[in-house]
Amino acid sequence: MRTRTFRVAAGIALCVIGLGAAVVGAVAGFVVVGTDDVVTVRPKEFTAKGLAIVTGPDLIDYYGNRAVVTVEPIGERRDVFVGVGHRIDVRSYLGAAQRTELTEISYPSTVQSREVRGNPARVTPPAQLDWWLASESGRGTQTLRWTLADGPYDIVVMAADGRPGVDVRVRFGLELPGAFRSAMLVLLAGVGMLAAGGLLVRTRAKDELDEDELEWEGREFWEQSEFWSHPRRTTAHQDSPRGARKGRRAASRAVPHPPSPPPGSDEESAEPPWVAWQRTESTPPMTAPPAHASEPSQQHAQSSPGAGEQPPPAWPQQFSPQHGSPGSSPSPPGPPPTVSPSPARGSPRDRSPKEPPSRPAPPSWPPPPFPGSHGTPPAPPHDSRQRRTNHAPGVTPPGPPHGTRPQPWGAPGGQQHGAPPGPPPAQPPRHVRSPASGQPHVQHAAPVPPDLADWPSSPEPVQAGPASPPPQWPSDGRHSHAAGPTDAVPSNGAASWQSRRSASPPPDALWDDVPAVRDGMTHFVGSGPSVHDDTISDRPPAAPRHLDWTADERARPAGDLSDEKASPEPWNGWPPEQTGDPGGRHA
Amino acid sequence: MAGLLSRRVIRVAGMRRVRLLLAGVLVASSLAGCVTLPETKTGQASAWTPASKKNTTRFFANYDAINKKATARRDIELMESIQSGPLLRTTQAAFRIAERLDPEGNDPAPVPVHRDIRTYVPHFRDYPIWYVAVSRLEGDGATDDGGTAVDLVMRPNAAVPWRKAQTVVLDERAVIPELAEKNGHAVVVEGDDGEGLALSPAQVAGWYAAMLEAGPSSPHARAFAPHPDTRRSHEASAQNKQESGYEQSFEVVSVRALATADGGALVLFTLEESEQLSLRNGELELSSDDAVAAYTGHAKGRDLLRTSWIWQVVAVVPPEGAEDQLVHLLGVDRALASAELR
Repeated sequence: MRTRTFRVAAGIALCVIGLGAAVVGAVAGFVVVGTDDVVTVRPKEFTAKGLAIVTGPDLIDYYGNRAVVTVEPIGERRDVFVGVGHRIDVRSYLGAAQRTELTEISYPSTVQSREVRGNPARVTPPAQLDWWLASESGRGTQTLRWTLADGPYDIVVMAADGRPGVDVRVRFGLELPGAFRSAMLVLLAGVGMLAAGGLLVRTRAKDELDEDELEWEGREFWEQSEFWSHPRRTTAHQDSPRGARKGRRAASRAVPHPPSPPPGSDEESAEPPWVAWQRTESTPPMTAPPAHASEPSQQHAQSSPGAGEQPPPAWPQQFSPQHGSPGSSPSPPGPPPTVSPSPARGSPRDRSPKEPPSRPAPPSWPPPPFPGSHGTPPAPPHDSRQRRTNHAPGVTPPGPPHGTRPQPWGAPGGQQHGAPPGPPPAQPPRHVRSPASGQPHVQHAAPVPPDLADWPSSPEPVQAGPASPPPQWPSDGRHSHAAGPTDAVPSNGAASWQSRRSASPPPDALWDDVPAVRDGMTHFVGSGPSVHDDTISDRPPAAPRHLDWTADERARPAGDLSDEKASPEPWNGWPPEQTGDPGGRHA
Repeated sequence: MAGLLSRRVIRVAGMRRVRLLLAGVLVASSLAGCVTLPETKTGQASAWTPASKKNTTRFFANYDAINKKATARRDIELMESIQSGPLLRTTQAAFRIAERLDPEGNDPAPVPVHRDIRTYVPHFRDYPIWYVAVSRLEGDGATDDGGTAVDLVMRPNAAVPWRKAQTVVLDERAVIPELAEKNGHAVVVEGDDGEGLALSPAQVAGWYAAMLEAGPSSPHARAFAPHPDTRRSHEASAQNKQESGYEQSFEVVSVRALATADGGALVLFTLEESEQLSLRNGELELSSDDAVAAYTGHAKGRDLLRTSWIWQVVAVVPPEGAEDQLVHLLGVDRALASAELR
């Protein structure tokens, strides 16, 4: 907060200073100095009867810069002369002639003079003399430019013919080399400071805007999905439009694809379906890190009212210490023991540069208890950091045996409370023939959580196409990339993100652009009997990320599914040396 | 994801822009101070140098050009811009004579040009100012050697340009002694300052005039080394003095002197010789190519002949105590300035 305030204050200060500097630079550059680097005094008209107009003895006290004197005849059209000479020469030249002596010249318009009485005599035309250090003579305006020297030098303005009487308009100037450039630099600096300040303020404002209005590619598709926008998943957070948005996000984040409660259930209107599912689910404690798999379609198949099956068992007790024992009245799940609850979402700028931005924070944690006797909590918080924690090295990667019931993915040691959409169950590598190249490649059905921390370590190239495994869309919908088994991501850089994005089209795009995935499943080699389309239509609308899993499930006999569900032992299909690979990206 | 990426990229790029802008501001601010401001005068300016080598070179180039043009036109007004004093008077007379002798201008007088100019500019504090130039004269032809000329260029005040006031072509064997210099300037010997010299410059001019007037028997003649022009003048004066009604006088017009390296002085002086011959007892008939006849336009005079001659002399005064205490004349030029024949 302090940094934000400082940035805003610094931005405003930069804007103010920059504006002032820009104005000063512009005025100095275009009004005072000019493009010729000359600071000019306002023109002064002289109507002298004497022989000449000459600077006084102590008038020019400086040297080193170039003086610019512009003489314009007025009235009678006479040639004018302007020159500078040594004081001995000038005094000797003028002699005792009457003349006008300048006594003061100062910016912007002060020019004072005095008359020196004498004889109005004619002298030799000045242009015929050779002691002038610099001179200009002729008809019309004459401009003298002479670098002031260290010595007694005087500037003389007179008629070119050496006759008395001088009617001229004189403009004195002093050249300041680099003045215009400096003024422009000040102007540029001011503009730069202005822009920098504006950027600071604007960036801050944009960041705060994005905190609430984070947009991600595919969000529209995601939110428009019938599955994710199930009306029963609406929560109390939808009191306000913003709350509705957050609630929708929370719902979209908590997409464990729970089974719908039976029709007529009293929980149907008050609780999300997965809440009841969690309360009633009883699963033996998993000693080993279970697979994180959540198989929506499978869950639907299991808990579908039509199926007549019992809802899944409740959470293991050690998984959520705050939970009551199985069968007891459910209480809101407490925060994860090892993962500090993060009510406030981390600011994107607080993350490391290579770390992808996280999705918006959950509404709060622990959430307020639901009204009602059950107090079923809403979907537990789930953010990317928690998810990354689950997939830290050393944690057994998710990979339940296929066919098991959907498990809240994450370590069973109580580190995971969220019920994110589980990736498909771990599957042995399958050979998938890419329709593009026709070459089979190894595809893992094992889900890879979209843990960005794992990306840099992936050396495998990106394989896009219909034969690629279905993308593992993050439960919160904040990550549009698909961390599929074959989805290799470069170590860092925006190009990596772009590459991943291009390699994994959005969910709807999968439906449209990857017909082989949607209707085929026949591309999978060695899969079971194909499933007709009518079986798919019986199921609730599935998220695109479950396509592959669904396809795989349909490729297996139903009996296998039920058998594996009953088996409490985790699937041990991973090679021993590969069980620690969270992403399952190894071939 | 792209939105997040875009946002982050935008933010990072924004901060990068901010840093870049601030860096640019810093650079611009640093460069903005590079303004050259004037300095206060020190009051220790170099001495006033009225004539530089550039000025003298330009003067002689101008002089040669104008002299050539003015001589061809016999334009005395044009000549006034480059000559002054006694020299101008002789030139004026020369133009008049040439006009009489060659009105068509078929035989224009040769106009030498100055080469290898060496100038000796004294240090002055105010006007009038002058300097001495030694140059080699060349005629119209490239091989025409006009000898060595010693010129006195003067400027009485700043209102007039440099003008040549005296010019003497040195004798064939005459050699200009090395002149003394002080701080890059020639050392002026004042006319009345005879300290360290056998004669002061003013004495040299006066004694020479007195010698010419009084003749070779004059006591002043012992101070000068024999010179052909001096002898010729004595011979002419002696002849004219045989005539009744002949009067001759000399007047010193100007004296300038520079110190030589051996302690002596190089003296440049001019004399004006005035002659007057009464013709009451006779009649004077001059040849048509005579200068006086050409100047006056009359070959015969019955009443009076009055002439004015300009003597331009360059002499070297030995230092006091030198083995040779005679004043050596390096060059003498006598030219008609004016004439009147009635």
